[in-house]
Amino acid sequence: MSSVLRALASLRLTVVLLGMSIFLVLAGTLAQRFDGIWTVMDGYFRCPFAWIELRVFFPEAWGVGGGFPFPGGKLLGAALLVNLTLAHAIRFKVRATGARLLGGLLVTAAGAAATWFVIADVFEHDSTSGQIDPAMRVTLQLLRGGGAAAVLLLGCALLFKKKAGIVLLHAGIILMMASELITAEFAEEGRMAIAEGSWSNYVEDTRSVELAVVDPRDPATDDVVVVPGRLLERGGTISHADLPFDIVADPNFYMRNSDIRELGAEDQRTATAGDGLKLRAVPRDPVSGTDSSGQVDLPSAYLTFRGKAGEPIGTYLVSTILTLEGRPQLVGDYEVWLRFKRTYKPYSIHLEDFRFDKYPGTMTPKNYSSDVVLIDPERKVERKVRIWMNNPLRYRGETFYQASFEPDETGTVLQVVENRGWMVPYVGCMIVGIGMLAQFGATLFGFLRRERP
Amino acid sequence: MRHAPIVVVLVLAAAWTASRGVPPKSPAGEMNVAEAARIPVAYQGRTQPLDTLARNMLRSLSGRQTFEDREGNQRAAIVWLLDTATDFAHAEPRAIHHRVFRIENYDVLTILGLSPREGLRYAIAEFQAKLPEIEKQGLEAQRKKDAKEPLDLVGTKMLELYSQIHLYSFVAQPQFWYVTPPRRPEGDWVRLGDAGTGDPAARSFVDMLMAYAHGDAAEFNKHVAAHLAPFDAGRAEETKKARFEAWFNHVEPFYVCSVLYVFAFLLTAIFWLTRAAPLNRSALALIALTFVVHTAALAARIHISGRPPVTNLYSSAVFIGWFVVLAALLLEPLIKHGFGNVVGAVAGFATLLIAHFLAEEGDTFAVLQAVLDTQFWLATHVVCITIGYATTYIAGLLAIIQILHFGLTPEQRKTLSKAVYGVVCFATFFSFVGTVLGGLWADDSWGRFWGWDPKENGALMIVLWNALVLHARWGNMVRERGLAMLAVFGNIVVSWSWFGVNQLGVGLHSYGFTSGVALWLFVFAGSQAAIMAIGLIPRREAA
Repeated sequence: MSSVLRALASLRLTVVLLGMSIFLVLAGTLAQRFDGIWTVMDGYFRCPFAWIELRVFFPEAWGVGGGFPFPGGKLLGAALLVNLTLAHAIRFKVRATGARLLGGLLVTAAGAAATWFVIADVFEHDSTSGQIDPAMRVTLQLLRGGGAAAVLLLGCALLFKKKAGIVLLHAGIILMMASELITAEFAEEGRMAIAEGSWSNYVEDTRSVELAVVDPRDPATDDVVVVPGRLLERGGTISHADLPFDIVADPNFYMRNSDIRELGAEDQRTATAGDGLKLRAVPRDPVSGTDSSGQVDLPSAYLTFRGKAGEPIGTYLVSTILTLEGRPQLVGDYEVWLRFKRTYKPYSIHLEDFRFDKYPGTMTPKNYSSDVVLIDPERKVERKVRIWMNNPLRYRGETFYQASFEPDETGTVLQVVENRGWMVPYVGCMIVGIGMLAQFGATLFGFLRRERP
Repeated sequence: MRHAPIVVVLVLAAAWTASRGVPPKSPAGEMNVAEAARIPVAYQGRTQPLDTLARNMLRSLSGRQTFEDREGNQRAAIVWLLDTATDFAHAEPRAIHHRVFRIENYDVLTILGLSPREGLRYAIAEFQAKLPEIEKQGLEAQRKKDAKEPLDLVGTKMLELYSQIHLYSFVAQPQFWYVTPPRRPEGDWVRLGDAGTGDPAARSFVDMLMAYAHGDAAEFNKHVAAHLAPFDAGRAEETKKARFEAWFNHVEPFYVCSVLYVFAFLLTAIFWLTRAAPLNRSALALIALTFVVHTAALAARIHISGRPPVTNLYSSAVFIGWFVVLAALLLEPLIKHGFGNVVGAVAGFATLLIAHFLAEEGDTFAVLQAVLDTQFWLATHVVCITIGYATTYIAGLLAIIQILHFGLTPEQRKTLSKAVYGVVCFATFFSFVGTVLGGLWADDSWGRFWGWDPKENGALMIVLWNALVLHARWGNMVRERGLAMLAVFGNIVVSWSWFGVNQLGVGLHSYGFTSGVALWLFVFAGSQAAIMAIGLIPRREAA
């Protein structure tokens, strides 16, 4: 038993795992020539097992096929965590006794509490950025992390003496790896597009779609039923009490990324009603990760609608592209939209002005900024905020970043991120950094002392 | 007497450096083009002296900052700029005969009906008849590139030539130059053609060009002075900077440094052969002097750009070289035997050479994309990660000495190995902190601490590699020789992160796309692999 534990805790395993991680990162980088960043993230890093395609290592023109399985990011991360934790459990002994031990434990506990406080404290505040200088803001965040790290170092120094630095820096690494895991599981990302003079209270997730069936008959409110996009992608008959009709989805007619073209005389006509009589959707390759144009996949699908009694209504072309153009498909009395998945918020953001400054005589952007008004009836908040590059707005656990804009510069696109653990890397960075300084500093001084007798 | 070699070396080097610092002056009675070179203009969002515009344009066309006129004399870039800009006023144009287009591709030469000649530089007059053909093929290549269709080498080269002709026609049409300064503090510069004849700055500039075209030296000098006077009075800060930049261009401090680094390397090499200690001391002194010049040049760039030292690939090369030399100066007294000197001299020269080639991409002070435009992150993340690159290279260079220098005593080898280990510790620290700061910048800019973006991954690989090296040594999996081989591999990892990821396509971080780099990267990786293989050769003492 102990020999197995020893092997799991060995430095040899650490080196092997680090080497495998480097290889995985390299493959995951090269794969972005072909696939979108999210596909690569899910297929290489945020999974227990990855399938590494051979083509990623060769020029595209060679047409190399095939691939091989490899441990994914999650598995390697977990293995490194186990290896690290066991190594500390087995090889790093507490060197203190008596009062020193007690003191060390107390100081370390205080440091851990301070760390937790720094990470958790930020939930309580809604910072409206721009109130203080961005450099100042980031420096303050780092200093708070640094304070907690300094206390932890003192505790480790009492407990582990010479090995304090290494214990501390490994603790920081564990914290940061845990944070990446939590981000992968829980962080939500979306975007909010607002036209000048208009407002929005929902966030769109451009990585997934939904089919919205809207009953427009009541002029005061719209009655909306939403079908998740993955049901359309999977195919089959979708029927639900809230839906006024049944939907038959064919996975062969679902396109993760698509383009809309005119329907020519020779083209196969799939739709029997709606815009699909004049237009057709053609599949496109997914947007690759190294594409910087900020494009997203635009899905389309052909769906067949049937009445509740089974009577045919027709086959329609639904597309996010048509939705972006503001064109619903009319199925009976209902409007049908294929749109990016929406999450509604209890507050709204109103765009007063979007500005896009360029350097004179060039197309190089100098600055983008959005002047918005944040209105939250629940909390009786109404205030003006300016969001610009490197200066996000943090509100109710979510952060709004200036991400993009409408082509004619009359509207803004904000990136909206909900990540409760955003402060963890700030703290983790300081803990690891201070741990390394302590460890390597001690090595360096030892070296200098020996070299100069 | 003991210090005589040092004194001789330092005096010679300092005298040569100082001689480069004398500002250029035109002989009395001739046109003072050196003064005209100091005139501020705006180009691509940045106020710069005409001299910089001329040099960058010429470098984009011909890869050089000077050109050869019909009589075979080397002439300054500003002369080419003024010649080209005033060609329209001549019945018999002369600038079209300046051989400033470097065309290296034989197929392109054939299409243009040109035959290869030494230097492969051609005048536009030689292929003027083919301009419609170049435009046709250039536009087709551009279309293919936009549509992401495969583009062959000839297409790529045609597109290159097409865009070079665009630059040329910009130079030949001064009405498009932003010559007139903004009238309000927040305003924009105005093009010469839009300013109207009533504008005094436009007036004096046009008068200057016409005087140049007529070859009237007295008139020319009068209008240059008249043009500069209101700048000196009303926009003193900017004008002083433009004058300073023109002087900086003239001195070419990085050229000075690279020459001196070569001499320092030679001194150390001769020391290794002869074991004459004064040579090594002289090399150290020479590197220290060169470092002063290097530092001053870096400071000058910071002053001109108003930015932290690293903003693009060019400046990262300059900064990496600077940092390695600094570290080498500290290392040499510790590890002795000229090891530090060699690292400093080789890295200093190599990085400045790389910078020289990167400069062909255009203005090395180019303005920054909005998201990159924050002094704080440039000063912390970018500087830190660049030091991470530099320190990893230092470890790699020390390891190369350890592997390739067969005359080392076991004692010396042990010292080198210790130094490699110590430097890898530093490299781990800086690459880790730099990488994480990059993540924090990303979090602050668009809410994603880690996005698995190629450049982020490249940085992560450096951190992981350095960590691997340290753990392998702590676990006694490698000893002196193994450590050296791993450290040499670190050179490949850093080069991949520095240049390789930019070859994958355009990502947010690929602010420096460079063609032909992929090949050099492979050559470099191959050379490092060969050195590692040499490390495998058994040695007598190793037993």
